[in-house]
Amino acid sequence: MRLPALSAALMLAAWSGPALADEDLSEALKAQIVPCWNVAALADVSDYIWMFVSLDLKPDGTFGADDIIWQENRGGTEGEAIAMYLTVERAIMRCGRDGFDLPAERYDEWRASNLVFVLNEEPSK
Amino acid sequence: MKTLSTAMLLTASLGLSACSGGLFNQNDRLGTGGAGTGIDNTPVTTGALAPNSVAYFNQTIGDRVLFAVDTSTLTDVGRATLAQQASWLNTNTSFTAIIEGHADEQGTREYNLALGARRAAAVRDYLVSQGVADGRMRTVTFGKERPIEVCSTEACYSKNRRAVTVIGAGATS
Amino acid sequence: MSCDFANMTPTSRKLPNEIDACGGALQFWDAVKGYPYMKRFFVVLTLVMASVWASVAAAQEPLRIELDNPNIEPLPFAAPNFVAETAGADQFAADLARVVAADLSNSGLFREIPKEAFISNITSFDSPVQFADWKAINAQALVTGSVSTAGDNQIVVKFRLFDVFSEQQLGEGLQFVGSTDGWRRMAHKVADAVYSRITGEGGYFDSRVVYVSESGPKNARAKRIAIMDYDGENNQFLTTDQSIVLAPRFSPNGNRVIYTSYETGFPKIYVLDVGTVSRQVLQDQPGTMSFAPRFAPDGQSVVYSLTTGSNTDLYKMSIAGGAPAQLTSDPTIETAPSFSPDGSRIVFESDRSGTQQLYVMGANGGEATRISFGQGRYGTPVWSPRGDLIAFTKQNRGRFHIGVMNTDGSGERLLTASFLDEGPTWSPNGRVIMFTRETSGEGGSSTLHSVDISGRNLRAVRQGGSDPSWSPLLK
Repeated sequence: MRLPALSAALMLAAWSGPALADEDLSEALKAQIVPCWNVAALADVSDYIWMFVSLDLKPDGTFGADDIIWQENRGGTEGEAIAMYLTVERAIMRCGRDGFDLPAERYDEWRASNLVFVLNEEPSK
Repeated sequence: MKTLSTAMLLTASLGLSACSGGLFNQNDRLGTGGAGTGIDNTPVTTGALAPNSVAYFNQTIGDRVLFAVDTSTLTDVGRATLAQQASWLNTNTSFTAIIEGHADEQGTREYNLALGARRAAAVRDYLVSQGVADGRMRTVTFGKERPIEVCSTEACYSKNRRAVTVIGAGATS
Repeated sequence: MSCDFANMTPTSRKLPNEIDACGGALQFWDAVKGYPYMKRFFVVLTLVMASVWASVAAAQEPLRIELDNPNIEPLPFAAPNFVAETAGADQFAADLARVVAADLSNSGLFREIPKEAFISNITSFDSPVQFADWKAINAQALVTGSVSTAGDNQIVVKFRLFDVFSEQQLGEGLQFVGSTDGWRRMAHKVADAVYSRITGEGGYFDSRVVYVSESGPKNARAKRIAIMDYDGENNQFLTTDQSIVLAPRFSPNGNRVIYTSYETGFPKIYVLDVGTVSRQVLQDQPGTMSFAPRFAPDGQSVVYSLTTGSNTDLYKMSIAGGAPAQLTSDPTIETAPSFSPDGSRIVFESDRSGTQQLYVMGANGGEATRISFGQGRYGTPVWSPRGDLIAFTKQNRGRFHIGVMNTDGSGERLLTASFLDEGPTWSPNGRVIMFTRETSGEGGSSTLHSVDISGRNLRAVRQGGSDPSWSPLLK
């Protein structure tokens, strides 16, 4: 399930640039996804799991199943990571089934989104 | 001297563990003469206990000693009882004894088994020190499996933390 | 039990598409499809390149959001009656769906959507699923199945699992063949597969529990070894109530049970064959008492406590007999030993420090390291099947707790609190702990309870039971 190191590095580079996106826009999308993010299936997992997916949206806020892409994950076992991805995918599919409600005039800002989901606290080093 | 078998009554009133019944012949005897030394609440109203009877051992001397929480140290009262038990056993040499160690319910099952074994051994060791032959006695632990009192307060716990000397006839197995 | 599951291996820690094929009894029948995530990874690589390129070209960073406040609500699922494909399979069709749903709901991680809410039903196992009908009632997972009867009291059960909102099948369909008597086990197998595919953990439903069945008053309690399905069904007694019996433990393959009995008037360890219910004494050193036995993970040896005089130490001996090896030689109480799953270490309790505490030593004895340091007394440690945690009983300020800690003693978490909780045992997947809860007073009685290792989902499993030991997943 691990990505090749090179592409992972590229993704991080793509992902960790300065955040130019409007914070309100982030909050708007977040508020529409979080009600559907249910991790009951991972309720007994106490490990830290970090999951980064990308979501490409059409101008009307809708998307296809292939527009949700598992980019990177950290923590947990392989099985837990897959279960985590399923919770994330389900959250986006359920709350976005009729498309996300975002301002059309700013489509350029939200056509590509990077979503990071974090389960449990990161263990202190 | 004729003896009457009142074992059923006596064991019932004392609440002796039923577990030991099958192992040893508990042929308690009631004497018909001598000074009245039976304990007050015995349901047997006639006569007194013969000093060489098991009933005398159980009631007059006392067949059990009690322990403080999570200890197997004999108390002064306990040692006094055991000294009399030893004296009885040294007089009545045809009897054997099983010493049962018990614990109250405030502990885990396995630990209480080990604790009951310690209590039984403490009694056996004391009786040996008083001259009772080791080979006449066996110890067994019941842990918390056979409480004599069933409430869940110290009033009951204090009676359940016990070692009981159960007299039987014949050689130990 | 005559289910034809002989070749099925435990499904613990499988990826959703990795269910072991099993000669004859368990078959894939769906065409082998591309692993859904693999398909995505081709897309991932190309899109990563594209997005790097696009972000450079358009100077527009992707919108970034971070979510760390998930909901924890049982996952709503629908388990419509299985499709009866032959005459006479109708009752199985309803019963199978009912037990699958009960298993999933029992886990606390799933919530069944009542059948009255269904907009449509599954009337043909192979027709395309109308996802819109299941989305409309907010079913996130859908379990479909079929059952047909075959000759010689056999039934054939098939099932599929769907993620409703992504409109995808999760893993391949599975087929089980077994005797009609074993229909419950087939339902448990289906539920295990569903649980495993959604949680990423192995299941635990197709398992049994051996325990002490209790009846009668507190001061003359009758005890019998009994065995039941994990959910309390199919109860069978393995011993009579003539003598006190304590703490039965399964052998690693579940075929044998080792326990303590007062059959002779003194506590001794017996080994019982579950199939034939024949038993033999394991350890009979004259003048000693033995208890607290537990199998080594290889099933060939047993570790236990032996009391000589006032002293209780740990010993190990081969199940085939022979001289016991003494593992500890302290004048204190050493008891309740439990092996690590790799068989290399033993965790046990001892009062060598003055109070009951937990220690870990090598499987052949030697130096022991104390791992419990919190307030109170610690006993009955049990190593988890995953090897990562130790469950224990803790006694503190007049209360009893079931807890778990890391194997080095760090990360202690108490999962329960009551007048008297003790004797934890792990589910085969290490996610659930069953234990004894006893109530106080004259009418006090024991009940088997279970709790998740998160401390959630406390449930009573069976009244009048104590000392549970959970089997591995059945084969």
